[in-house]
Amino acid sequence: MTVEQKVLRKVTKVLDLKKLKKALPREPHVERIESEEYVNADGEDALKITVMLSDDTTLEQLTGENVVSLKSAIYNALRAERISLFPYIFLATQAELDELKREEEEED
Amino acid sequence: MHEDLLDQAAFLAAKDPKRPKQANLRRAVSSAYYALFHYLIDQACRELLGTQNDKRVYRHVLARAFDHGCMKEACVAFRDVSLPKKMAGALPSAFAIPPELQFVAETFVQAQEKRHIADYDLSTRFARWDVAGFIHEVERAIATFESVTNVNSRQFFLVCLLTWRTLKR
Repeated sequence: MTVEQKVLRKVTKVLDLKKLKKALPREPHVERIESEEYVNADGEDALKITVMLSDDTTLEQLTGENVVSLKSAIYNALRAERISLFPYIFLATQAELDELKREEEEED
Repeated sequence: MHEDLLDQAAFLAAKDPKRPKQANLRRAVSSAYYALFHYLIDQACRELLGTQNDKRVYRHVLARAFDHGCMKEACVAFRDVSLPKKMAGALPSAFAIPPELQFVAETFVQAQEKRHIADYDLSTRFARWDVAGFIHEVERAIATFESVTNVNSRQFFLVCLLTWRTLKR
């Protein structure tokens, strides 16, 4: 991976929740946004953005409109800062990630 | 077809509410991607060959010529509003890529990556919320495409999905 640390730091800054909050939909509630370098299926450098939703998120809150406006807020913020790496965005709750980790450990 | 695939994706994503099986989430992601893939191909074939029922067989034959990689490359260019200079210069000055098309193109790029992970990368596990959100996003992209009123941009985008690798030269 060749994504510069400088770029990653900039991404973290751009996606700071305090700055981004106004652009995010009211629901689902975003607790934090994590970014890391990523190489896509075609071998291109990109970003993996994990949007951590609150554990009480419901399926009803994940409407097309909410999901799209959440992702658009991220795309727009990165574009505004001329960050050209494509952000692949994943949604999760902490409880879900913990559960997935447990499942993985059980399988090992 | 695309509606059935979306129904299938939603059904699989909602199974086992307490502990969803990764196999179901992976198939849900794949089905949602293929819903968008086949929807766009169908729209392109209708533009190229006509919508009449007696053209259906021809549309199905033409549909086989579409390629995942070529479609993604076209979508990246439309998403970034970065058509090759030669192509952009040859288009009418009024030509523009509406934000709705950019969104559809962006969703396709995201969807293809997720489908690749779902089908080939066993090291990544899917979270139900991510899959549920993704299915809604694909539904939204299809609805958005239907709302594109700029006929020239819409037609050109669809033709590019098939011909991008030749056109971009």
